[in-house]
Amino acid sequence: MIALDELIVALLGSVPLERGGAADGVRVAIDEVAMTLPVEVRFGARPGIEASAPRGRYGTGFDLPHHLLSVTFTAGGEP
Amino acid sequence: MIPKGASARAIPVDDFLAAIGEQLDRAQDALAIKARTGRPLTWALKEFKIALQVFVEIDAQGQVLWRSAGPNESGASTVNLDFTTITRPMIEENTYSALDEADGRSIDQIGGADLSDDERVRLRRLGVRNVGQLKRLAPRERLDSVGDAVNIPVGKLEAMLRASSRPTVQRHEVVKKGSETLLRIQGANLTDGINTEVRLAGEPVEVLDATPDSLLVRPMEHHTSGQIEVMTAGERATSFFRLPSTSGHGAGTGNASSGSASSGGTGSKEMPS
Repeated sequence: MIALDELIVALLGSVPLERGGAADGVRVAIDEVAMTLPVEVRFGARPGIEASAPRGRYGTGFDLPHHLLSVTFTAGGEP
Repeated sequence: MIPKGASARAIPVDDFLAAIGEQLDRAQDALAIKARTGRPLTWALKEFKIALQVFVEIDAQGQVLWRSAGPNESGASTVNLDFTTITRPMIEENTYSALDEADGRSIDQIGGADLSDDERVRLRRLGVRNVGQLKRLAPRERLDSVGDAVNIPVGKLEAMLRASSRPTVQRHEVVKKGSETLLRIQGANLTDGINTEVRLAGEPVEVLDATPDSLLVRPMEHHTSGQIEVMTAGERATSFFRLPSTSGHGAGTGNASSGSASSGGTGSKEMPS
Protein backbone atom coordinates (compact mmCIF):
# COMPACT_ATOMS: atom_id res chain seq x y z
CA MET A 1 0.00 0.00 0.00
CA ILE A 2 1.25 3.47 -0.80
CA ALA A 3 -0.18 6.91 -0.16
CA LEU A 4 -2.92 7.90 -2.59
CA ASP A 5 -0.94 10.86 -3.93
CA GLU A 6 1.99 8.57 -4.75
CA LEU A 7 -0.34 6.16 -6.51
CA ILE A 8 -1.83 8.98 -8.60
CA VAL A 9 1.59 10.15 -9.72
CA ALA A 10 2.66 6.55 -10.43
CA LEU A 11 -0.43 6.01 -12.58
CA LEU A 12 0.49 8.91 -14.83
CA GLY A 13 4.05 7.68 -14.90
CA SER A 14 2.86 4.30 -16.19
CA VAL A 15 1.59 5.77 -19.45
CA PRO A 16 3.90 6.67 -22.34
CA LEU A 17 2.90 10.28 -22.89
CA GLU A 18 4.67 10.74 -26.20
CA ARG A 19 6.36 8.66 -28.82
CA GLY A 20 8.16 9.28 -32.08
CA GLY A 21 10.05 12.31 -33.30
CA ALA A 22 11.88 13.68 -36.29
CA ALA A 23 13.66 10.41 -36.93
CA ASP A 24 10.36 8.56 -37.14
CA GLY A 25 8.72 11.17 -39.28
CA VAL A 26 5.87 11.47 -36.86
CA ARG A 27 5.44 12.36 -33.23
CA VAL A 28 2.42 11.45 -31.15
CA ALA A 29 1.67 13.16 -27.86
CA ILE A 30 -1.16 12.55 -25.43
CA ASP A 31 -2.98 15.50 -23.99
CA GLU A 32 -5.42 13.74 -21.71
CA VAL A 33 -5.29 10.48 -19.78
CA ALA A 34 -8.32 8.94 -18.11
CA MET A 35 -8.07 5.74 -16.12
CA THR A 36 -10.51 3.67 -14.13
CA LEU A 37 -9.20 0.80 -12.10
CA PRO A 38 -10.07 -1.29 -9.09
CA VAL A 39 -7.91 -0.59 -6.08
CA GLU A 40 -7.40 -1.88 -2.60
CA VAL A 41 -7.77 0.88 -0.09
CA ARG A 42 -6.92 1.28 3.55
CA PHE A 43 -7.63 4.26 5.72
CA GLY A 44 -7.54 5.04 9.38
CA ALA A 45 -3.88 4.12 9.91
CA ARG A 46 -2.61 7.57 8.96
CA PRO A 47 -4.26 10.69 7.48
CA GLY A 48 -5.76 10.15 4.05
CA ILE A 49 -5.93 7.00 1.99
CA GLU A 50 -3.39 4.31 1.30
CA ALA A 51 -4.06 2.41 -1.88
CA SER A 52 -2.63 -0.05 -4.33
CA ALA A 53 -3.66 -2.02 -7.36
CA PRO A 54 -5.45 -5.20 -6.25
CA ARG A 55 -2.93 -7.66 -4.87
CA GLY A 56 -5.38 -10.50 -4.50
CA ARG A 57 -5.64 -13.25 -1.97
CA TYR A 58 -2.25 -14.70 -2.92
CA GLY A 59 -0.60 -11.36 -2.15
CA THR A 60 -2.33 -10.58 1.10
CA GLY A 61 -3.89 -13.77 2.37
CA PHE A 62 -7.25 -12.02 2.43
CA ASP A 63 -10.03 -11.19 0.04
CA LEU A 64 -9.92 -7.42 0.40
CA PRO A 65 -12.87 -5.58 -1.14
CA HIS A 66 -12.10 -3.62 -4.27
CA HIS A 67 -12.85 0.06 -4.53
CA LEU A 68 -13.01 1.87 -7.84
CA LEU A 69 -10.69 4.74 -8.71
CA SER A 70 -11.18 7.02 -11.72
CA VAL A 71 -8.66 9.69 -12.46
CA THR A 72 -8.25 12.08 -15.37
CA PHE A 73 -5.06 13.97 -16.09
CA THR A 74 -4.78 16.78 -18.55
CA ALA A 75 -1.75 18.32 -20.20
CA GLY A 76 -1.55 21.99 -19.43
CA GLY A 77 1.09 23.34 -21.82
CA GLU A 78 4.77 24.10 -21.59
CA PRO A 79 6.25 23.71 -18.12
CA MET B 1 -25.47 2.47 9.13
CA ILE B 2 -24.15 1.50 12.52
CA PRO B 3 -25.56 3.78 15.21
CA LYS B 4 -23.40 4.95 18.13
CA GLY B 5 -20.34 3.20 19.52
CA ALA B 6 -17.80 3.90 16.81
CA SER B 7 -15.03 1.37 16.12
CA ALA B 8 -11.38 2.27 16.56
CA ARG B 9 -10.53 2.35 12.84
CA ALA B 10 -13.40 4.63 11.86
CA ILE B 11 -12.55 8.25 11.13
CA PRO B 12 -14.68 11.40 10.95
CA VAL B 13 -15.86 12.28 7.45
CA ASP B 14 -14.60 15.86 7.78
CA ASP B 15 -11.09 14.69 8.66
CA PHE B 16 -11.19 12.10 5.91
CA LEU B 17 -12.18 14.57 3.19
CA ALA B 18 -9.64 17.13 4.40
CA ALA B 19 -6.91 14.47 4.29
CA ILE B 20 -7.86 13.42 0.74
CA GLY B 21 -7.83 17.08 -0.28
CA GLU B 22 -4.28 17.34 1.05
CA GLN B 23 -3.25 14.21 -0.80
CA LEU B 24 -4.66 15.55 -4.06
CA ASP B 25 -2.75 18.79 -3.48
CA ARG B 26 0.42 16.79 -2.92
CA ALA B 27 -0.25 14.78 -6.09
CA GLN B 28 -0.70 18.01 -8.02
CA ASP B 29 2.56 19.40 -6.58
CA ALA B 30 4.37 16.22 -7.54
CA LEU B 31 3.02 16.42 -11.10
CA ALA B 32 4.25 20.01 -11.34
CA ILE B 33 7.72 18.96 -10.14
CA LYS B 34 7.76 16.19 -12.71
CA ALA B 35 7.20 18.75 -15.43
CA ARG B 36 10.33 20.59 -14.33
CA THR B 37 12.42 17.44 -14.60
CA GLY B 38 12.34 17.27 -18.35
CA ARG B 39 8.78 16.44 -19.31
CA PRO B 40 7.69 18.44 -22.34
CA LEU B 41 4.28 19.35 -20.90
CA THR B 42 2.84 20.15 -17.51
CA TRP B 43 0.24 17.72 -16.28
CA ALA B 44 -2.60 18.45 -13.97
CA LEU B 45 -5.15 16.38 -12.16
CA LYS B 46 -8.42 17.24 -13.86
CA GLU B 47 -10.84 14.85 -12.22
CA PHE B 48 -10.66 12.37 -9.44
CA LYS B 49 -13.40 9.94 -8.48
CA ILE B 50 -13.33 7.11 -6.05
CA ALA B 51 -16.04 4.66 -5.07
CA LEU B 52 -15.26 3.48 -1.57
CA GLN B 53 -16.69 0.48 0.22
CA VAL B 54 -17.27 1.78 3.72
CA PHE B 55 -19.31 1.26 6.81
CA VAL B 56 -20.92 4.42 8.09
CA GLU B 57 -20.93 4.83 11.84
CA ILE B 58 -22.02 7.52 14.27
CA ASP B 59 -20.14 8.14 17.49
CA ALA B 60 -21.54 9.30 20.81
CA GLN B 61 -21.08 12.97 19.85
CA GLY B 62 -23.15 12.52 16.69
CA GLN B 63 -20.15 12.67 14.37
CA VAL B 64 -20.48 10.63 11.18
CA LEU B 65 -17.53 8.28 10.73
CA TRP B 66 -16.38 6.06 7.89
CA ARG B 67 -14.61 2.76 8.21
CA SER B 68 -13.09 0.96 5.28
CA ALA B 69 -14.69 -2.42 4.63
CA GLY B 70 -12.45 -5.28 5.69
CA PRO B 71 -11.89 -8.72 4.13
CA ASN B 72 -15.06 -10.78 3.73
CA GLU B 73 -17.24 -8.09 5.29
CA SER B 74 -20.54 -7.83 3.49
CA GLY B 75 -23.10 -5.07 3.53
CA ALA B 76 -20.71 -2.15 3.04
CA SER B 77 -22.07 1.07 1.59
CA THR B 78 -20.61 2.50 -1.59
CA VAL B 79 -19.61 6.13 -1.19
CA ASN B 80 -18.86 7.93 -4.44
CA LEU B 81 -16.51 10.84 -4.05
CA ASP B 82 -16.05 13.07 -7.05
CA PHE B 83 -13.40 15.77 -6.95
CA THR B 84 -13.08 18.12 -9.85
CA THR B 85 -11.06 21.19 -10.63
CA ILE B 86 -12.63 24.36 -9.36
CA THR B 87 -11.35 27.84 -9.84
CA ARG B 88 -10.60 30.45 -7.20
CA PRO B 89 -13.61 32.62 -8.21
CA MET B 90 -15.88 29.57 -7.76
CA ILE B 91 -14.46 29.01 -4.29
CA GLU B 92 -14.92 32.64 -3.35
CA GLU B 93 -18.47 32.66 -4.68
CA ASN B 94 -19.61 29.53 -2.89
CA THR B 95 -17.64 29.40 0.33
CA TYR B 96 -18.93 30.82 3.54
CA SER B 97 -16.23 32.83 5.27
CA ALA B 98 -16.35 33.13 9.04
CA LEU B 99 -14.13 36.18 8.61
CA ASP B 100 -17.03 38.01 6.95
CA GLU B 101 -19.34 37.26 9.86
CA ALA B 102 -20.30 40.25 11.99
CA ASP B 103 -20.01 38.16 15.14
CA GLY B 104 -17.81 35.13 14.48
CA ARG B 105 -17.65 33.87 18.08
CA SER B 106 -18.26 30.16 18.30
CA ILE B 107 -21.54 29.18 19.93
CA ASP B 108 -19.39 27.14 22.34
CA GLN B 109 -18.04 30.39 23.74
CA ILE B 110 -21.48 31.67 24.70
CA GLY B 111 -22.42 30.83 28.23
CA GLY B 112 -25.78 31.34 29.89
CA ALA B 113 -27.82 28.99 27.72
CA ASP B 114 -26.64 25.76 29.29
CA LEU B 115 -27.02 23.82 26.04
CA SER B 116 -26.15 20.14 26.18
CA ASP B 117 -23.59 18.67 23.79
CA ASP B 118 -26.44 17.05 21.88
CA GLU B 119 -28.22 20.36 21.46
CA ARG B 120 -25.03 22.04 20.22
CA VAL B 121 -24.60 19.25 17.67
CA ARG B 122 -28.20 19.76 16.49
CA LEU B 123 -27.54 23.48 16.03
CA ARG B 124 -24.35 22.74 14.08
CA ARG B 125 -26.28 20.41 11.80
CA LEU B 126 -28.52 23.35 11.00
CA GLY B 127 -25.39 25.25 10.01
CA VAL B 128 -25.17 27.33 13.16
CA ARG B 129 -21.56 27.46 14.30
CA ASN B 130 -21.18 31.05 15.42
CA VAL B 131 -23.19 33.80 17.01
CA GLY B 132 -23.74 35.70 13.75
CA GLN B 133 -25.35 32.62 12.19
CA LEU B 134 -27.49 32.07 15.28
CA LYS B 135 -28.79 35.63 15.17
CA ARG B 136 -29.65 35.33 11.47
CA LEU B 137 -31.35 31.96 11.85
CA ALA B 138 -33.23 32.72 15.01
CA PRO B 139 -34.39 36.30 15.37
CA ARG B 140 -36.62 36.54 18.43
CA GLU B 141 -39.85 36.37 16.41
CA ARG B 142 -38.82 33.03 14.83
CA LEU B 143 -37.47 31.33 17.94
CA ASP B 144 -40.50 29.06 18.35
CA SER B 145 -40.21 27.49 14.93
CA VAL B 146 -36.43 27.13 15.16
CA GLY B 147 -36.72 25.61 18.62
CA ASP B 148 -39.21 23.07 17.28
CA ALA B 149 -37.00 22.25 14.31
CA VAL B 150 -33.95 21.43 16.41
CA ASN B 151 -35.84 20.20 19.46
CA ILE B 152 -34.28 22.77 21.79
CA PRO B 153 -36.46 24.59 24.34
CA VAL B 154 -37.16 28.17 23.23
CA GLY B 155 -36.06 29.42 26.66
CA LYS B 156 -32.56 28.08 26.03
CA LEU B 157 -32.34 29.79 22.65
CA GLU B 158 -33.56 33.03 24.21
CA ALA B 159 -30.96 32.74 26.95
CA MET B 160 -28.29 32.11 24.33
CA LEU B 161 -29.33 35.16 22.30
CA ARG B 162 -29.37 37.29 25.46
CA ALA B 163 -25.95 36.02 26.49
CA SER B 164 -24.56 36.62 23.01
CA SER B 165 -25.79 40.24 23.10
CA ARG B 166 -23.88 41.13 26.24
CA PRO B 167 -20.56 42.98 25.88
CA THR B 168 -17.53 40.73 26.05
CA VAL B 169 -13.84 41.59 26.17
CA GLN B 170 -11.81 38.89 24.47
CA ARG B 171 -8.33 40.40 24.18
CA HIS B 172 -6.43 43.63 24.04
CA GLU B 173 -3.34 44.94 22.32
CA VAL B 174 -1.03 47.87 22.74
CA VAL B 175 -1.14 50.24 19.76
CA LYS B 176 1.60 52.80 19.23
CA LYS B 177 0.55 56.00 17.51
CA GLY B 178 3.49 58.34 17.20
CA SER B 179 4.73 58.89 20.72
CA GLU B 180 1.49 57.71 22.31
CA THR B 181 0.71 54.27 23.57
CA LEU B 182 -2.94 53.40 23.13
CA LEU B 183 -4.89 50.31 24.01
CA ARG B 184 -7.15 48.47 21.61
CA ILE B 185 -9.77 46.35 23.34
CA GLN B 186 -11.34 43.64 21.20
CA GLY B 187 -14.46 41.66 21.84
CA ALA B 188 -18.15 41.74 20.99
CA ASN B 189 -21.00 44.20 21.63
CA LEU B 190 -18.54 46.73 23.00
CA THR B 191 -20.68 49.70 22.02
CA ASP B 192 -24.35 50.36 21.43
CA GLY B 193 -23.42 53.21 19.12
CA ILE B 194 -24.57 55.80 21.66
CA ASN B 195 -22.52 55.63 24.79
CA THR B 196 -19.53 53.53 25.82
CA GLU B 197 -17.58 54.09 29.01
CA VAL B 198 -14.23 52.45 29.60
CA ARG B 199 -12.32 52.34 32.87
CA LEU B 200 -8.77 51.19 33.28
CA ALA B 201 -7.80 50.27 36.83
CA GLY B 202 -10.98 51.93 38.02
CA GLU B 203 -10.43 55.27 36.25
CA PRO B 204 -12.43 56.48 33.24
CA VAL B 205 -10.31 56.88 30.11
CA GLU B 206 -10.89 58.57 26.78
CA VAL B 207 -12.48 56.40 24.08
CA LEU B 208 -10.98 57.43 20.76
CA ASP B 209 -12.81 54.99 18.52
CA ALA B 210 -15.66 52.59 19.17
CA THR B 211 -17.10 49.80 17.07
CA PRO B 212 -19.01 46.77 18.30
CA ASP B 213 -15.93 44.56 18.11
CA SER B 214 -13.18 47.03 18.97
CA LEU B 215 -12.48 50.03 21.21
CA LEU B 216 -9.43 52.25 21.02
CA VAL B 217 -8.73 54.01 24.33
CA ARG B 218 -6.04 56.31 25.66
CA PRO B 219 -4.60 55.03 28.97
CA MET B 220 -3.37 57.56 31.50
CA GLU B 221 0.32 58.05 32.07
CA HIS B 222 0.41 56.05 35.29
CA HIS B 223 -1.55 53.09 33.98
CA THR B 224 0.52 49.95 33.82
CA SER B 225 -1.87 47.13 34.62
CA GLY B 226 -5.24 46.52 36.17
CA GLN B 227 -8.83 45.81 35.32
CA ILE B 228 -10.51 46.80 32.07
CA GLU B 229 -14.17 47.67 32.49
CA VAL B 230 -16.41 48.36 29.51
CA MET B 231 -19.88 49.72 30.24
CA THR B 232 -22.41 50.00 27.45
CA ALA B 233 -26.18 49.61 27.09
CA GLY B 234 -26.50 49.06 30.82
CA GLU B 235 -24.15 46.05 30.74
CA ARG B 236 -20.58 45.66 31.92
CA ALA B 237 -17.69 43.52 30.64
CA THR B 238 -14.36 43.12 32.36
CA SER B 239 -10.89 41.82 31.70
CA PHE B 240 -7.33 42.72 32.67
CA PHE B 241 -4.71 44.76 30.87
CA ARG B 242 -0.99 45.26 31.10
CA LEU B 243 0.96 48.01 29.39
CA PRO B 244 4.69 48.34 28.79
CA SER B 245 6.25 49.03 32.16
CA THR B 246 8.39 51.98 31.10
CA SER B 247 6.93 55.42 31.87
CA GLY B 248 5.54 57.82 29.31
CA HIS B 249 2.80 55.95 27.45
CA GLY B 250 0.32 58.76 28.11
CA ALA B 251 -0.72 61.40 25.68
CA GLY B 252 1.96 63.65 24.41
CA THR B 253 4.82 61.88 26.09
CA GLY B 254 7.46 59.93 24.30
CA ASN B 255 9.79 57.12 25.17
CA ALA B 256 7.21 54.34 25.03
CA SER B 257 8.76 50.94 24.80
CA SER B 258 7.64 48.52 22.18
CA GLY B 259 5.85 45.29 22.85
CA SER B 260 4.03 44.10 25.89
CA ALA B 261 4.96 41.79 28.69
CA SER B 262 1.40 40.70 29.20
CA SER B 263 0.28 37.14 29.04
CA GLY B 264 -1.92 35.65 26.29
CA GLY B 265 -4.36 37.92 24.55
CA THR B 266 -2.07 40.92 24.35
CA GLY B 267 -0.11 42.14 21.38
CA SER B 268 1.51 45.31 20.15
CA LYS B 269 1.38 47.08 16.83
CA GLU B 270 2.27 50.35 15.19
CA MET B 271 -0.45 52.67 13.97
CA PRO B 272 -0.01 55.44 11.42
CA SER B 273 0.16 58.82 13.12
